[in-house]
Amino acid sequence: MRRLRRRGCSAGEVGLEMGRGRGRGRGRVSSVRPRPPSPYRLQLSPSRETLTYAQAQKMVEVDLDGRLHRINITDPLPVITEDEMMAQDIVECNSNKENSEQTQSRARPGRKPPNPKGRRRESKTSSHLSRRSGGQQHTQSQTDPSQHPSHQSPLPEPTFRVLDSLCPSAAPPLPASYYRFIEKSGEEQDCEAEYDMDEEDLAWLEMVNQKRVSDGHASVSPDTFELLIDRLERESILESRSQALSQSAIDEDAFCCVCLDDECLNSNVILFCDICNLAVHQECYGVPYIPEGQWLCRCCLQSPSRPVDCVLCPNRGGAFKQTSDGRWAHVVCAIWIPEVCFANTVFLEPVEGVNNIPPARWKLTCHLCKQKGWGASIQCHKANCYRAFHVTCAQKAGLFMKIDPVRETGVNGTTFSVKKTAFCENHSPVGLRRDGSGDVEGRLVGGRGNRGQRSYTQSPLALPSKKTPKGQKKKKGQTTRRSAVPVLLVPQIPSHRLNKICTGVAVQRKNQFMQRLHNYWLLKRQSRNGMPLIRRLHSHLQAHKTAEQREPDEKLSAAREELRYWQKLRQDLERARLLVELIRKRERLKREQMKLQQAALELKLTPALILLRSTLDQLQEKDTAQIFSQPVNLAEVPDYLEFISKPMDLSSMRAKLEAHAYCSIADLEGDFNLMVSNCLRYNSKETAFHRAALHLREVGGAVLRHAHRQAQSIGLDPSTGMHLPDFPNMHGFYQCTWEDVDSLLDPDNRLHLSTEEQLKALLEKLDMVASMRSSGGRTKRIRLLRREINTIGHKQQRSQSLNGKEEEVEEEGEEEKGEKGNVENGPLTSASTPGTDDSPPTLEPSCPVSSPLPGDAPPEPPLLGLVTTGRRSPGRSYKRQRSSRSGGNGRSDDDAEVGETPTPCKQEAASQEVSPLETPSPPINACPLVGVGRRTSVLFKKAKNGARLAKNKAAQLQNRRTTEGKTNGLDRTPTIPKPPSVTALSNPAPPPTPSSPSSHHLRSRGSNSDSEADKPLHLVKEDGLTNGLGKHKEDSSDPPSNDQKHSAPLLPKRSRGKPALAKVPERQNGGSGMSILLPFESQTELTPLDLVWAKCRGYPSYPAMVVDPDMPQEGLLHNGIPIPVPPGDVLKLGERRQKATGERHYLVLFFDTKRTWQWLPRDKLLPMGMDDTVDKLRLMEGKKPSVRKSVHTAYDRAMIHLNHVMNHAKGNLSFNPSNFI
Amino acid sequence: MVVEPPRLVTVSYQPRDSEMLHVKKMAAGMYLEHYLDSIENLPFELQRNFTLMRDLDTRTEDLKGQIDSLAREYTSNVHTISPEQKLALLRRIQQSYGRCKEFGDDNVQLAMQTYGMVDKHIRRLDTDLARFEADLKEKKIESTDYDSTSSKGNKSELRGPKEKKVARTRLKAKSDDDCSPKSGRKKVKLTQTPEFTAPTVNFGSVHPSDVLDMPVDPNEPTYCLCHQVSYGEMIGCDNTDCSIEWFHFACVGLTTKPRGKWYCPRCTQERKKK
Repeated sequence: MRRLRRRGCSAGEVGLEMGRGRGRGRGRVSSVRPRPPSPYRLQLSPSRETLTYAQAQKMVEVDLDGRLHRINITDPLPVITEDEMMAQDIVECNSNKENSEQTQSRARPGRKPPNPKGRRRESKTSSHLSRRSGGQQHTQSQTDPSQHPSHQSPLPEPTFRVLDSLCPSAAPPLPASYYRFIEKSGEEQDCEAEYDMDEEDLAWLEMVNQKRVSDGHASVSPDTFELLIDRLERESILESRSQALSQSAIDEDAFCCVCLDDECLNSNVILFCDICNLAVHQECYGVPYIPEGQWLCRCCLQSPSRPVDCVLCPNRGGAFKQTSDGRWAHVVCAIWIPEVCFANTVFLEPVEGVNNIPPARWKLTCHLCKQKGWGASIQCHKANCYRAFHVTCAQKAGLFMKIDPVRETGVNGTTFSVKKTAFCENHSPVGLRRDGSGDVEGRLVGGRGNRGQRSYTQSPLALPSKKTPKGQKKKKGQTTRRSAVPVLLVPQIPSHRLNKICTGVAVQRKNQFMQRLHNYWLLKRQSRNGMPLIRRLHSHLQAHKTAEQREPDEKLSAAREELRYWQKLRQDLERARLLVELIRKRERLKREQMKLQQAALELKLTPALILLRSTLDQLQEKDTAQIFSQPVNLAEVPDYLEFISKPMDLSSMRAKLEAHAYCSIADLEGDFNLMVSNCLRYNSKETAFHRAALHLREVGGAVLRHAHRQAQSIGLDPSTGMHLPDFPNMHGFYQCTWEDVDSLLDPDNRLHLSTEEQLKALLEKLDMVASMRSSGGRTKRIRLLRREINTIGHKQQRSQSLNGKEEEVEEEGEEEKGEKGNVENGPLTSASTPGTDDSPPTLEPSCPVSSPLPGDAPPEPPLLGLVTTGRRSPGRSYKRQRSSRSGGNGRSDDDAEVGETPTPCKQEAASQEVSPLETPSPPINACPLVGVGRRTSVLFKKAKNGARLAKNKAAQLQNRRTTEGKTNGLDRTPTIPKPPSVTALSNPAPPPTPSSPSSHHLRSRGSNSDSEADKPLHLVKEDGLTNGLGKHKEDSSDPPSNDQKHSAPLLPKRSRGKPALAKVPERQNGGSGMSILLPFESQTELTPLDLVWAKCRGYPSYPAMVVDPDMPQEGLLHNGIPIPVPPGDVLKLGERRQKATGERHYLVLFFDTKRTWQWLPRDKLLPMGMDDTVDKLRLMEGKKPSVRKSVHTAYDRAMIHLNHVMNHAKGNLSFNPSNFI
Repeated sequence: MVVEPPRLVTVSYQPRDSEMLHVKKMAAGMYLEHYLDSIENLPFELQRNFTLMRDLDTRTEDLKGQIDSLAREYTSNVHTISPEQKLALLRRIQQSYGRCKEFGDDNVQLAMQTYGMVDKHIRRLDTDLARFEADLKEKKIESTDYDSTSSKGNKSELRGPKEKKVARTRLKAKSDDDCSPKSGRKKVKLTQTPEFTAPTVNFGSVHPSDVLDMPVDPNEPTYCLCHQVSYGEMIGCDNTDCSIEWFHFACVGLTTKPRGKWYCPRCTQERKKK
């Protein structure tokens, strides 16, 4: 029978055959058979992959209506009429059941139609078979008839007789419309039983019924039986589907179980078996075309219920193919075992050559599974390594296995030849031993142990008692079913489902019957290798899986519906919320817009008011102490109104402003000035109020000027306080350039202007420059402008004082003095205040102080006026006369020049080359210029002073001389006062000696002089002590060579106000007298804390510092740098030496490591740091390198000291500007 | 400067009746039914608020017209009238503006209140939904193993939507207390997505992203220095007049909610100036 079947089978279906017989009937020549009545060439092929290569070569495939048809190329194509086509179609409709049909028919070969249904079935089968034979006709036409002794065609011979009596009645007329086939819906199909009983079922039912009848129960009708079987089938389908679904959940990281690769190309996709979920590459399993609908692996297709075992290895699971003798083998095994090959290299089946495997290979012991004599093993490809392993074991273990596919195109078409390399774990290439992920080229199957492990299980046969296979089975979903008893393939139907099934059926003793039926059904399924009894459901399994979700649970879907509704609601609400949020934002914006609108309208209607208001605000800001914010409290100062007729304050100004009483900035300014002048008038100069008023006047002026300019540029109508109809042309205020500023700075350019105008212009420029971006030019010009402004203000004041307002001016001067004194230091203040002036506590009573009294002041101012007006004044000529030395001329010119265009001094400041003559002049000459900017000017000077500290080093000499001159001029030879307080020291303040004369001058000369006095004081600040010291020295030792002395004493006799002037020539003398070329010139006096080159006998000049021997014993700070205190014995030594030589000696402190002291005469000292060349010379003076080195280090030390001192001075500086601004 | 009266958008929200009936039939949960009852009033309340706002707007516009005429009078007569008259005129303008501002404030207040109303409903719905979904999940677990196996299958289907979950979660539960800004605003707003999504994740084929991934409303209000819609954690500026109000944590360099008052960079600057 089997043979017969085989012969009857088309060659194309060889692969489908389950038969164990030889499947190689093709190629045989069979006798020519008559063509079947309906020779359809188009042979339906159940699946594509069933053709061998040779067959494929001879076939033409036609894809019609989603079905594949193969036409043998050798067959002639007959013309087929439509009728024939229809007949074919009918047959094909029934030919849906290829695979199982054969088994069925095989199982029941001699079936007789017992009932109508069975007959129907029979006819189906027969037609099917007839088709088969037809197919065989052309494909296997050469089949040897001798091989198939039994009759070829089971086809019944048609027997017919002609009925004469029957005349064909006229067929009922066809309806006009077409008949339409309406597929039954799922529900309809569910209602009716699709199952048809076969004779087995009938027999069984008969038996059961007999039993039942004998038991006294009603028999069960065949219809009920069919219905129940049908239900059981359905349940099993659902069950298996859910199982399959759960399996297919891991699709993403699936890998081909042949090559263990998960690479998935379009041309080589990974296919999944629809039943066992086996994953294979198209190429690896020989599936050149992806079939439509479901695809089953060979296993599931041909041995669906029985797990197959590989003949070549002991492992189960994985991709199998049948061998030519009907057994099964892994595709991998077939690939790797050399003797085995595939008959068709495209479809990779069947496996051939198993018999060719030499016995030696069979006997190899796999060193991985340690099993001998089960399957064929391969050996490590490493020469001299004989380790053997099963292919699948190796895959499991993740050994290195590499296949390089080589496509060879030969005469027969493309063939695969592959180069295979497999190594045992000892010989796997380095780096791939355990991690096989580095496979870039080829199919590298190394290191995929886990994958391999997942793919295979040991067949239970292979390990009869070693391990319980269950342990392994647990992990592997797909193999669980396979390796377990075949029953498992038939899905178990849970009992509650069973109950559900039989609810609708009325059968007596239902449970018992159901039990039996179920068992019968199970057995029947098993007998059919687990194939479903209803084909439709089986074939639709795939479609069901994807398309239909699952039988919708009503409750669930309703709930989902509901949820969807709520979510929709939620979305709507969210949208509403967004909308409201937008509305909220819009309302806020509207509110903002309203405010802006109001502001805009206000600006439109009352621009002047706005400007005035902002100006007033600024003014109020300037009044930090809130002195002017409220009206003067008359209760506190009842006499206020006696002095002030029109009180004014900021709050009443504001009230006026809001009442539209001001029309222009000028009105506001008037009130502002009134307020300030009130304050100035009522409060005495010493009071904080007075000072605050002055300050406010200054800063307020700037504010008002700015407001003026704004009003101008805006173009306000003073009468209405509204904008002018025409836009005013820009004044170009902000367009002026440095040239304008510079030209204005030149006094000649503004000669035609009155002082007031000059002042105004300068202030404007100052504002303008200040508003510019900061740059070097800006700060410089600001400074120049300020200086100029101060000069002019000075002039103004002077002229005022000339006009008989001396009193006030002097007062102001006093006031400034006090103010400055506060800023500077205590002693100065005390010295400068009129009260203490007469007898400053620091002065020694022995010294007759002829300090000018306040009363002396009035005569002075004119003098001073002469001084400052310099050039044109007789004072100048006088000065010249005074200056007996040459250079006086230049000095006075210089004086004037510096005062008015102080640029030169700037340059000097910038350049390091400082001529002793010029350096001192800027600070000193600049001093008198400052008259207006009280506090600021003072600080300003200070700043300048600090900036020039380096220069001052040089200037010190002159300064000292100056002060000395003054002192002399005053006939004052004050001994050094008691040591100043520490604060005074840290901010080296001029000792009373120099300050007191200057203060006298100050007061006597009024405002003019005070500023002048300030300057020297500040400038000298640093060497203040020196001055004192020098004086003291001079006084005590009566310095022999002091030509200043000659001139100086004269000065006081002439006029007491003079000394300040007298200093100038002297200074010049000193300056001119001293030169680099004459370093040891004794004329240049050294002041304490000066750095000098000290020349000791037998040693080169060495860096040292002049120290005041009379310095306080508790030490002193020079700009914050502590100065060592000379030890007592040193002082004594000095006294002795001075006495011995009768010459003045300076105490110097060397910058050596030990800081040694020495007393040296003036001619041994040379100022240091004045000139680089001099310094360098000194540095080179030493003859020995060691000495030179020591001098160098000492010089460095000195420089460091100097730097420190300077930095500290600068530190003072840096904080000054903040006050200043 | 005439400004168009801002158009008022009236939101009429009416849940579809058929659906509502359907849902009621379901009787899925009492809370949901209650919810429907409560939300019934929402449209009317919204309507009322918006009409009120509209009223205020018209009045504001009237006032603006008055102001304009006053301003014109002032400018034309400025040369002739006395300072007192001027003052009176200006004062009148000012007063009008004051009233305008009051109306504006009222409008803002109303908008905030409306927002709070809608927000309150949304919050309630969210909690109800979360409960509902939890219930559903329970039901599913209870149901037969047939269902459970099939839901197993569904899990794999859910894999796709999972990516969508990463999608921006834009809902924010912010400014729930915006309507009462004076009584201590809550500082940090969390997007409410966590609570909301969690229950949905496993539920059938309804993806959580369905709700959250609403089409981006082009009109969605933007916040923060970056002018983006709100997402993630937001922080509100403690300056009630802040023009931006809400900021993304990342944009202002925050990772956690700061203690005490927090001001946005702009407001901080402003405050420094003062």
